[in-house]
Amino acid sequence: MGMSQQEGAGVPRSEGRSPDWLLLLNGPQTLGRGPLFWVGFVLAVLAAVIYPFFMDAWSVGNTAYFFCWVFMALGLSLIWGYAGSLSFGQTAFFGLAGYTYGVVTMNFGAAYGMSLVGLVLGVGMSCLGALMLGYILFYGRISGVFLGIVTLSTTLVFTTFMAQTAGSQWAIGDARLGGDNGMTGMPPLTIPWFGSDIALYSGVPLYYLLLAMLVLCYLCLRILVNSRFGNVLVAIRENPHRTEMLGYDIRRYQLIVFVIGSGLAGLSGVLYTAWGQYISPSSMDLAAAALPIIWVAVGGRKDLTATLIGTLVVLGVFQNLTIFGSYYAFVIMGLLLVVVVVFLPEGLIPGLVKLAGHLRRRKGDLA
Amino acid sequence: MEYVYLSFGAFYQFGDAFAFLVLSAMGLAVIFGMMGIINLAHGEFIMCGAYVTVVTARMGVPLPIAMLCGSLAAGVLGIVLERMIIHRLYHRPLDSIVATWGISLILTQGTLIVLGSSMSGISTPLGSFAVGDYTYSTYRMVLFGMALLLLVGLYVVFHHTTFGIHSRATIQAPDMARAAGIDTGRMYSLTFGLGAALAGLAGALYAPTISMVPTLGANFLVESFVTVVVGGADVFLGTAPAAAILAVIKAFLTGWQGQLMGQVGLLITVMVVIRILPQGLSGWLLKGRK
Amino acid sequence: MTILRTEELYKHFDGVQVARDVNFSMEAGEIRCLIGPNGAGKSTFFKLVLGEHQPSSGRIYFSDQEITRLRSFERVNQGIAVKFQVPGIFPDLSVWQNMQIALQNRLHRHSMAGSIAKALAFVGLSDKAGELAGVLSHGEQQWLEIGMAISTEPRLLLLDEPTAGMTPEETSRTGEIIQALNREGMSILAVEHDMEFVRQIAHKVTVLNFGEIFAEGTINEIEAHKEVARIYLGTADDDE
Repeated sequence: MGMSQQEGAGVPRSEGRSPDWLLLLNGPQTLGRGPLFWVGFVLAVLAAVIYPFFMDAWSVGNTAYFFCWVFMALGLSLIWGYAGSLSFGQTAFFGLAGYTYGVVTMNFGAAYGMSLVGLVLGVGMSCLGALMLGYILFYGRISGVFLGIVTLSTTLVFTTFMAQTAGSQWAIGDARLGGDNGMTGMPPLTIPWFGSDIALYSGVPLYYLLLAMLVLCYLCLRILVNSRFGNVLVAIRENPHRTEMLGYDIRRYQLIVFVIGSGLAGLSGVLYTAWGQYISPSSMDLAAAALPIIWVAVGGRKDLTATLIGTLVVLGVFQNLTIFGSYYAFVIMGLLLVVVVVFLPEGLIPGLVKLAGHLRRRKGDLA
Repeated sequence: MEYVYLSFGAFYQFGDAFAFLVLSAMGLAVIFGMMGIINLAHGEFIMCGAYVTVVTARMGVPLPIAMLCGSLAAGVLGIVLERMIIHRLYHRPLDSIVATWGISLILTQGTLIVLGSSMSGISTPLGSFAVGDYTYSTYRMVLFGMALLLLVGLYVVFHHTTFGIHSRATIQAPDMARAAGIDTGRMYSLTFGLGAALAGLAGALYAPTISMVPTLGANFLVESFVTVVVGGADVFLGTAPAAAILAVIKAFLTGWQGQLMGQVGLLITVMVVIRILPQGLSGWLLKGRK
Repeated sequence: MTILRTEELYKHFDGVQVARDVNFSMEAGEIRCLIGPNGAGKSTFFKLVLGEHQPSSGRIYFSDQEITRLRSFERVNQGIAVKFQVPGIFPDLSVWQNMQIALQNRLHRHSMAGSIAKALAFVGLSDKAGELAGVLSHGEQQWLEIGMAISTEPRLLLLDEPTAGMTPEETSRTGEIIQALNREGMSILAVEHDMEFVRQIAHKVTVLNFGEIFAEGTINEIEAHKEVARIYLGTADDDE
């Protein structure tokens, strides 16, 4: 019951007649199980559904903007929090997918569902890139800090590359890459419809689409991490050597989770580009690349729900801080990261959950 | 005669690349070799060295002294950060990389707030010289000399001073060092400060050649990372030969296709090398020694 | 049937020869103990058998199949299991989950709960199923790890100092577990320093010294062997 992970963790209840995958919504790798949590979850989703009726269009579009980023955070939580691989490559795949979307839609337009093709291709490019890079890394037995360095270097080189694509010779078909200024003017996600297509500019319809995608993604990831596959992931995180000695090819698991997580980063990239009709190398520079790390570290990287909530909270805080100037916002973010890593390495949300557990137990003792 | 001119040209390219790699990587290598942590604020120590050098030079201080000031400032900053934050993370290498990234963010953005998005720099001293039809920057040749001098100097420090010997003892066997009465906590602080000062020195030396923006550290990152990873944990058996090999690759690719290709070549090299020699060059060289 | 055999196995590291012409052979159903002074190469031999090191030359056979070129996880899937000296459990996961990860590779979901319970009962940890493995006592962690190793029903179990750090009661219990496993047909190769324990369980003993097989025989033969005493204790002159 409730949010406790320690009590009764990992000892499954008797399996009734529910399908296997439904059971996996609850499991040892996710905080929150039982009726109380799921009621809260449904209420949260309902609140999100009626939110646009009470807020102005700009706020709704802004929340949609926040939703774009959550996929990348969940992906990083998967790679870093669950599988234990510290990858700094998320923003590179973000950018790769975003640019791919731009190239596809600027060449072929958004009619006849082409923007959706752009989305699929964008995510596909990220997955392909992750497959290649991941193969070199994991089958080359690169891990730990070296994994971080190589992925960071890859991101830096890719950013530098995109920043110098300023000339007119740097174009793929009709889409100019634009160098430091980036690529702009691509169409938003457009749903093909009888009569006229629905172009999803920042606003209420896009909000609902993103909300649906987010809920679906969250539930699917919950099932994934609580499955056998997820069990092996956390085993790899805890003791990769032992996991291999139990007969698992850990390189394969690490590669698969890297591709999934990077694909999610790519999804964020496409959605961001489609939301704002803009993508540039500055969304991949060192400061930008630090942000997913901050969201995930602050929220609580080892748990999907903590990451989800933490990301939205930190995004909100960051946006409010940028009123004072983006430099100040980043300084606070950096400070937040250092404080959390040093003093609360599990993240704020698990820290709060533990605190709540302590207080409840204390009350129980006093009663 | 043309052959001689071209050879000198190649030598110059090599020397330029070698100097950049060695100077960028030295500070990172010392810290990584000692404590096994990768300091992502490395670029900011470089930036500190560069900025302090420029500010003091513009106040009229002779350039070499200004550079020493820059290096020292970075060293002090390093020790302060080590005492405040870094020393809590020695047993958590992955967390230390994330925390130093946070520090890097604070320093870069903080400098943006305090000093603005750019600052006037200083010009490259010593002019140029000609060999055959080509002209070269004298200063860049001086930097090559400085890189070599620094390697020699560090070798002397690490092998012939008390600090150096204690520091190597702490690297190789911290428990034994402690048992022998060495204050390992202080060793770590001083070594971190030394690494920061070396990074600051790199910034100071390159200050006359780059534009003064708070993000200038990022330009050194890829090269320093790659050199440290390829070289492994030992500065002399690792960083120096790694820099030499990478300089050849970088100089060749830069000359042929430009700066970016040079970086891409380095990236590919690091992936290949990690695959074959997971402990870097120094790990491999140390194995074959006996 | 010979369950494990090495032919002319050599390995050198950093210029030091850690395995020298090792021709080891062990029958199915045996409990063999590997002993020798520190640095004799016992752990290295283990790592060679498991695939963590590649030999400089030589071949390794498991049940007459050559495994020299196989990766570690492939060898494990052939039927070798290992328990290292340092407890290799997953500290942040529950005892139940630890066991589940060991088993899930092989078993279907629906029969898994029963198998996990059975394995936990065998090592006496049923009542601790819900606890985090990291809070178990040292001895309990060792048993959990043995439980995980045997849950894959290996034909050969490698144990690296299974009783290190255990109390005499725990040591004796461990001996019983090992003998019970052996009765069910498992072959066991253990590196050990505790001679009492070796005497309790070993069918045969192999002595390593400087990377070579120095002597082999029953525990009585080994104890009577003057040269073995010498390599452990040095000669009378060295004791000055």
